[in-house]
Amino acid sequence: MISSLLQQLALTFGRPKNAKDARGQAILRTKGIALAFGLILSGVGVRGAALCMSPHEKVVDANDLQRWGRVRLTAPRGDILDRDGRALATTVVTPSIVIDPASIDDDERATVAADLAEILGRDIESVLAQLEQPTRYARLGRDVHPTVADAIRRYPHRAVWVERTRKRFYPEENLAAQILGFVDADGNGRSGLESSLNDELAGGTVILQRRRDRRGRGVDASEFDPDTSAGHIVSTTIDRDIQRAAERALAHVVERSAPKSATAVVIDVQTGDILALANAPVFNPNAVSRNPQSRRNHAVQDWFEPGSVMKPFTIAAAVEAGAVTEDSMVNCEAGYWRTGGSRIRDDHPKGIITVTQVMKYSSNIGSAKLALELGPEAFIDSLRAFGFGQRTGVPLPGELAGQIRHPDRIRTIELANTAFGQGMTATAMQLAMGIAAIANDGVLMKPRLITAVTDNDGLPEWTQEPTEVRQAVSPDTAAQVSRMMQAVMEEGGTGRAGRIAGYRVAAKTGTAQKAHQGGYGEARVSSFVGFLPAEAPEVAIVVMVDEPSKGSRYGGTVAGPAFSELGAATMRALGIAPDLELLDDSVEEPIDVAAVADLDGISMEWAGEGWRVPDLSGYALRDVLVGVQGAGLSLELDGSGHVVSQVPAAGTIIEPGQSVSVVLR
Amino acid sequence: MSSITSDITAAAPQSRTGSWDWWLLGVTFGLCGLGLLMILSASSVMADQNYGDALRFVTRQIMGLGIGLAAAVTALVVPWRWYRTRAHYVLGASALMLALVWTPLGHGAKGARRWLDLGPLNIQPSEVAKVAVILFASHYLAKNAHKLKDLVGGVLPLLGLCGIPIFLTFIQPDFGSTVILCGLVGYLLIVAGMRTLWVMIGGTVAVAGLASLAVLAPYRIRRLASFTDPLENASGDGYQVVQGWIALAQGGLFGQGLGNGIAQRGFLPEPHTDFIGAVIGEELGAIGWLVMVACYGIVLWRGTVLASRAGGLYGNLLAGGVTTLLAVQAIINLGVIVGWVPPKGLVLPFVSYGASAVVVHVLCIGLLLRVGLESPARRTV
Repeated sequence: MISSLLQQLALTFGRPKNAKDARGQAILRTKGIALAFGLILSGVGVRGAALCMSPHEKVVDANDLQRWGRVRLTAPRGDILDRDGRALATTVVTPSIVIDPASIDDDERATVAADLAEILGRDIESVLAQLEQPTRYARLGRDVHPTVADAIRRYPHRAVWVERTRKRFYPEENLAAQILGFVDADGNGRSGLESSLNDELAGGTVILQRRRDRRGRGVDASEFDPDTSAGHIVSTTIDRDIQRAAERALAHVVERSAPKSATAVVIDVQTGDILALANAPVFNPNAVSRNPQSRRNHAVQDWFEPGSVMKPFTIAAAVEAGAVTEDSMVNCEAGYWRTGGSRIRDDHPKGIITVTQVMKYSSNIGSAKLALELGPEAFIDSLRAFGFGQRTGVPLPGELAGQIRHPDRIRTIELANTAFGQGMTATAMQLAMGIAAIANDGVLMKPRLITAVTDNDGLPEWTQEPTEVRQAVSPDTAAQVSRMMQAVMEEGGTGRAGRIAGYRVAAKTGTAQKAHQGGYGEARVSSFVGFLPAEAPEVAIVVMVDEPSKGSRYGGTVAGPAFSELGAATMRALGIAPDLELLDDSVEEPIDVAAVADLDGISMEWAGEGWRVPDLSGYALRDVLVGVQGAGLSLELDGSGHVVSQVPAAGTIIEPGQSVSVVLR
Repeated sequence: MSSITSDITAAAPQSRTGSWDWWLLGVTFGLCGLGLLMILSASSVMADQNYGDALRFVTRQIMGLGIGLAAAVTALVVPWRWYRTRAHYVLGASALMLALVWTPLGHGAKGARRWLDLGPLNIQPSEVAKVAVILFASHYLAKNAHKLKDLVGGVLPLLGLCGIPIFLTFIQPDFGSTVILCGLVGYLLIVAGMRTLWVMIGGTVAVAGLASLAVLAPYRIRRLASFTDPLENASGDGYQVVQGWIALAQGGLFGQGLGNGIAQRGFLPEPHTDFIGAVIGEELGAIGWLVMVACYGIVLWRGTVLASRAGGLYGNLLAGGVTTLLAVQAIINLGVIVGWVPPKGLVLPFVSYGASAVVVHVLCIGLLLRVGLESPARRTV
């Protein structure tokens, strides 16, 4: 055995003696070399298997670092809808242009930069600067036009591609901006409903450890389906058309009176639904301004000394306690009365008048006497029953409660002042709900802004039914106060500027001095609160104007026209037919229609049997929709842009339900 | 009787008595099939992105396999006598092709001129040169085996003639193929009966020569440095090797599954050519890797058996030469992946994408099978 091995070795390395030896040597050498190769090959096999099975620590680390990415996947945020299901806030997907500068060769960089600059409409230098960055991922354009994205997709260089990114979008721009709020760059709600309902609206988020390619893009199909965990849809009570009318009315207030701010609230009195909640100044949540003042929701985040708009509640308290009726007589001391060591004055001095007249002429002295007669306990309790001094519970961030003094600690003059809305504070939202309670047979409702939160399949997560808070006063008391508030609108009352053609209105004006450095200065809060139609109330409306700086400062004059404009638009939007008899009255005494007519929007004029079709030419689609459709007429549209022709012609009278067709270009 | 006539005439009557090697055939088909699958997995995403055709490389590889099959069948039906007597033409043709890469027909990439661009066909002459050198040197050595003692009259003419394609390959530059060609000539000389002392001297000279060449070209030094510890240089010259190791590490025992690897997603350069072994490791695991290595082991085993059974020195050299070519290509390619050999740019026979290489390698199997057919019957059967 060993000797034969030695012989073979000798033959392999030695000199062959003959041809047979030479052939044998060749075979031995062939086999010997093959054996060596076989051993090396085996070694390669074992080494490779070892690299598979027990890799070096650094290799494992490098793998984790390069090939695995923590990817945050977020499902789209839910929509916020108005009461008719129209989107007020939605999520859109927009294309972004991304480039991997490292995979562009030096010699082609200038050409690529020029091409991309042309496609993107940017200057070459800035594109080139981005292409020269030492990175593998740079964003050349965000939210680009679809045609640009298409051009990039067709562009034959693999270093540039299109990614789709989500964006929160508010199709109505600044409409209801303070209610909706906005989202920050990370997709978190920062104010309004976007903030208070962030958990509901936000899409599900998962952080996945997943394999990625060298560009960082995931390579494996994800089991996470963003659509199934999309954010919930929030249905609100906001009526887009009424909201738009409210914002327009406030815009006119701003034009006329240049206030610091203004707010308007429209409440459905039976349900407590917030149909509109408008603020001026406004902001566009699509391009959030740096000025936090414009994002402030004054109706819930500001408190005011309300002034005379508190008188309906004072009188309601006295009537409810049985101390007076609407016809009881009160001595108003000819406009000057001393009590608790202080003077109280009336702007319209009266002698002995009815409680109704106290309301109509807004007598401070009469109101104070009613409160003093009731005493602190009963009076303050009644104000609390109307919701003053407590938050209404509206689901908006930052709501204030307002303050009323405690009955045990209130001094006489403070009690007298509270009777006409001084020395206490309230929010516009509280006033709106309180007035709505008077309109709603004395039942105070909780303000409802959200009707339902629905999941992605349309199944309700939860719904919110109208909620009664309490019976603040009896239906009879409410009816008496309602009648007294209607008197405010009559000849000689303070609310004349707030009348609405075709509808009976119950209202109260307020012109409150603003506390300033311990006393009262020149600044006023001018307000107008009321409801309509007075005989069968549908909506309560509050308009508050903070520090008007131009023209009159009286609530009736400053806030009245806005109340009138907004009330008329609300009636049209809700399809509540006007009382034809009242319209005939208004022909004799044309009021405030003018205030509507000279405004930007289309004014619809009631002509006895139907609407007089206005001249629509030149109006934008939006105005036509609000004006014509808002009046209960149906609308046939052709084209877009501005109206160039219309059928029927201007001046024709048509009945509600008939249609108007317009051509827009 | 001169040895050449005896060799040729002795082979002819035995040609019907040889044996057919199913092992070799089966393993070759297996490796070619594995290659197609892995090329598909390694290149489809990239091919789709860059050329809009996910199957671009697979289609071309299939064309290469088809041509290779035709060449192998031709080699099988033609008695070796026919091309043996024309071996110097084959060598000349390969040298001509290598020279042509310097004409406008030539086509280069990454600083090397390695291809002939013939319209639809891209030929890599260095691959042709490998088989040409085997054919020529086998014939020359079988004919002149008795002259191997004569350095000037016997060995030097061989070195001079084979030196032409080797030199042309070297100046492309294609260092890996140069080493292979030199190794093949050395192998054939040793088997043909070169004296052990000369082999040792020649080996020493060759190693010294290679070392000095490496020293002369700085980029080879750098590669060598990164080769000694690629992990220390993972983002530089060691990048390829480390990416290959990462791929293998992902493979584990059974692999990520066919098509599930991501080394080819931008991490591993040349995933469908030089580093396809790493993709196999990632997708098929240690088991796939070992099966593949075993396949090359079988090629080596069957090739060696056929070489030993060949009736004469020519058949021995031819079979041993092509077997060595296939085995060494596989060892160097896989050796690069495991980190034992500095990156060379040599393809994995039958598996890597590359039409010229696959044509030549399939042809090699045809030659091996032909040697089997022309061998004398086994005594034991």
